[in-house]
Amino acid sequence: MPNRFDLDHAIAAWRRPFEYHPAFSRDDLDELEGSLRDRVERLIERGHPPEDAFRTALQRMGSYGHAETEYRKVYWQKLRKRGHLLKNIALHGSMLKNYLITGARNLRRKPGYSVINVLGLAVGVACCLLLLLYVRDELSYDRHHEHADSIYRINMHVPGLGGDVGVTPTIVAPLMQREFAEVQVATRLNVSGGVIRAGEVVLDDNAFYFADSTFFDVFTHVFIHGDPATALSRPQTVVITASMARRYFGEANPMGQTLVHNNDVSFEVTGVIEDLPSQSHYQFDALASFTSRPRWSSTETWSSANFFTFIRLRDGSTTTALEDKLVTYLTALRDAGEEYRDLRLQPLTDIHLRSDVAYDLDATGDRSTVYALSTIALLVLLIACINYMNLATARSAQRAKEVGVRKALGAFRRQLVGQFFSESALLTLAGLLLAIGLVVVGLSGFNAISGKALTAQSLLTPSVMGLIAGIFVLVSVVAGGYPALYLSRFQPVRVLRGQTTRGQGNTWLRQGLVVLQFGISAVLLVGMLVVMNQLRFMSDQNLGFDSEHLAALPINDPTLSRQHDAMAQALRQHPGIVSTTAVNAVPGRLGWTSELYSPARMDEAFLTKGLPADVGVIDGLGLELLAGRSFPPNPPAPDSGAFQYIINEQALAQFGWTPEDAIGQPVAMGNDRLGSIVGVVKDFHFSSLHEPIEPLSIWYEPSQAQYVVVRLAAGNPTEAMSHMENVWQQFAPHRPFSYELLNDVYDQLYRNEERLGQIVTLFASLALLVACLGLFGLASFTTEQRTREIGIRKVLGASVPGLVGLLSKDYLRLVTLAFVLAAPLAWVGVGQWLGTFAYRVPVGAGLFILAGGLAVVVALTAVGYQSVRAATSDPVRSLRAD
Amino acid sequence: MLTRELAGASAKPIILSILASGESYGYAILERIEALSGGTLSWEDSSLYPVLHRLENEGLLSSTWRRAENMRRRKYYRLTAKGQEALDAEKRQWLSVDAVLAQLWGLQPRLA
Repeated sequence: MPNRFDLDHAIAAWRRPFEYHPAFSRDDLDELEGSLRDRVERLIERGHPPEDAFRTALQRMGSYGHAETEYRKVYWQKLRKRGHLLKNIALHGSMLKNYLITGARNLRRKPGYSVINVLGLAVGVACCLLLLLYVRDELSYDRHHEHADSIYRINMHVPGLGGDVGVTPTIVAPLMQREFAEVQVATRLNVSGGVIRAGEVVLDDNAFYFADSTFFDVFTHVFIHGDPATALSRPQTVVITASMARRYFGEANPMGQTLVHNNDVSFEVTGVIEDLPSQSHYQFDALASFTSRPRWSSTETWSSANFFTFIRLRDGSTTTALEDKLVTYLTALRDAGEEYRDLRLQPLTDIHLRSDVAYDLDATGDRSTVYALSTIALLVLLIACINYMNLATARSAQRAKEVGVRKALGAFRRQLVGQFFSESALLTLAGLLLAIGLVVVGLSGFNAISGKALTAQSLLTPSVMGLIAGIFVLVSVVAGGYPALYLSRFQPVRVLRGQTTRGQGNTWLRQGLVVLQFGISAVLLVGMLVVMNQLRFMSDQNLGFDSEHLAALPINDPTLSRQHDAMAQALRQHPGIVSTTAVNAVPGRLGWTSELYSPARMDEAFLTKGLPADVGVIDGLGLELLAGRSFPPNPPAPDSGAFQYIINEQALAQFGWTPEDAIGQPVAMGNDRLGSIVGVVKDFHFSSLHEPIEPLSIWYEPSQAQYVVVRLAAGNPTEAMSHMENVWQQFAPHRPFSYELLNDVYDQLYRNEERLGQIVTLFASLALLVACLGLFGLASFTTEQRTREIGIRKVLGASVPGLVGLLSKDYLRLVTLAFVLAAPLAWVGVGQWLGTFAYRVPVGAGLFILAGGLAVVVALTAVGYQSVRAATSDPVRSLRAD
Repeated sequence: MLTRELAGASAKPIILSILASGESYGYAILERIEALSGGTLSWEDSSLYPVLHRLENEGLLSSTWRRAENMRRRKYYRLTAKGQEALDAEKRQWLSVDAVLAQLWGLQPRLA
């Protein structure tokens, strides 16, 4: 008899759903089963047929929900009492194993889906990790010093400059030390370079700084040789880094050896320290004692701000107390009519990213870049998360049946939730491992773009591991959460009957996510195009002088500076060299700032950039004279009364003269350079395009020259270059030949922007790629769902292009909508970034159309592939499948 | 039928009292209750067993698994010394409630 009631089967089926429930132990179930069997037997004895007896007995067992609640209460009591926690964990472990096995099986069954998901997540997380490593590195500047939190730099307010400068005059450090009990110790740092020789080794790319002997009381450096307390206490001593020691002395002991600075002064090596971490805002190769320059160390003056001053606070002192006292002290100086400057404290750890002062040591830190990149990191991660959710919910139609069957077989909702979370965790884990692999592989490339020295080891630090674990939990829960909580709610009966496959709310959510995803991509795309445009704009911008074919040779040591005239003459012997001149600084890096005024109107002094130069500076740089003349060929040596000035249009505007009026007007710079204006030049860009053009004065003072600027003839410069090198060997046998091209100097001004551009381009492309992967997967599921519809349409005569259009139309609409929503956001974002440039490229509609077009084309390619595949498939096959 | 609250409150003294007369197992306890109450008290299995487990956790009962005559495994419960004390305490409480209600309703207290 096939349909005979089998009690053992019935009981086994009753028992199964309880089997994996942690609150029911095997003994509990045996006991319940015994009870059930006793009752069935009793009922059969009374004459009930077995099936009937079973049903009645089952009713008397009570509802499942009730039993579960009651057992669970006791279960927790037991757990607490008997310490069965281990058993409990083991039980969950075995359940987890089951989830994972099932999960892996599901993933294998849909390899395309899994690959898209894992890949999208991996790329997204890898981007996020790279960017976060970058941001973390930026945030960790100068934190390696033991007293990092109590170290401050003294900045100085310069009224005419409209802001603070990071440099201070010699008096500040001794004054802070003397007058304020809060200051434990103060130190000064002077930043310079120069050529350094030791024996036969001569190199000129060293950062040669000077510092007070107290430097190592403020900052923490690890000494390999020497004693931090005494290393810089004598004049003519120097502490060098380990890599500099290797460059000059190889394996020999560098202690006591001699370094010659600029072919002039000898220094004894009294200490070797470990190389500076890349996260230090100052980067020196050699640090010489301050007392080596008696001109600095023996005078205390308020003029010539050439030093960075740092203080370390005493333990327990507060900055507010010190700041109050400082203000009181400086006010007293002012009221007494003495010389003073406004001084301010800046925390050491703020210097790299939060510094807005002029004349800063460090030009690489940029807060807005860090903000931009953190935002991009989160957005890319968001896109990757959205992908997973989108694909998982798109699959809900297919997995709904599975949920129905599982529920009908007695699965609890909890178990289904566990199943979906496990799958999500499994995929996330795979994605994260792949992401870590991608980070390790891509790190060197990323370093090249970002100019960082990030290592894969930095992934292993607790904070980054914590971050990865955090991403794991967040992504698993967020990405797994929606399907886990949504799918497991399906009513088995309705699902198995084929309802719920298309919830309207579900579609809305999915479409919303696609819009969000593409909106983010669109913002990044617009950002990328704007940064690229601005970079091109800056390199194409007419600087106002002819920067092509200009090379600058450094003559910043006493030997060369004495004979630069002869050197320039020798250089001009070659036909490949058109002209030469000598200047104090090259355009793009003008440092001299001073007050310029007309002696008749002393109260109208204003700050200008200053450029001491030799004759021929107008022709040499290719400047355009508006009035007057250049310096005469053989000018008298400048003395205090007869300085010759050439000013630019901005300076002219400050005086309120016409170019013709200006010629012959007496002017003076600072206290000791009286003279008159001999010429007016057209404005040109002598600093980055971030800054508007400032007033400028050029005056004749060849003794201040630090560079010979050479204009090479157009065409092949090789011969002229070798001539330059020969001349160099003749005049400067003590140092290696080196030169800079003016165009390179200007390019360096935009290194940050260049980097930002490359980084944004890279990550915008990857974000778009991830978004497209998601769209590709999503399109494949929706077209799959419409297989039958497509078959019918084809049979009824629909054309392939018509079908492709039909299938792609929805996505086109979503992507367009995303773009329309994102455009204003992008507009505001790029507007802020462009606001940091005084000269900027206009943001036109064309750019938005380009970005939008790009997003649409890329999205349609992803969707189009699926659509074409579906539209060209054989209708007979798709219809027979049902 | 009893209200939920009363059923819940009375479960403990009833179970303890039944086991006071010797060890027993779940289904037998259920049958005993049904018989004693003439059908007015009829518990679901899923209510009885958690109570048994709870009392066991509290140390009022002890249990052993034994093979029954039909060779099925069966869990037998017996009263512990602590269970006996708990039963005495329960008895005092129920008697005092019974005495009060009986006087109020003009009945002779019967439980004593």
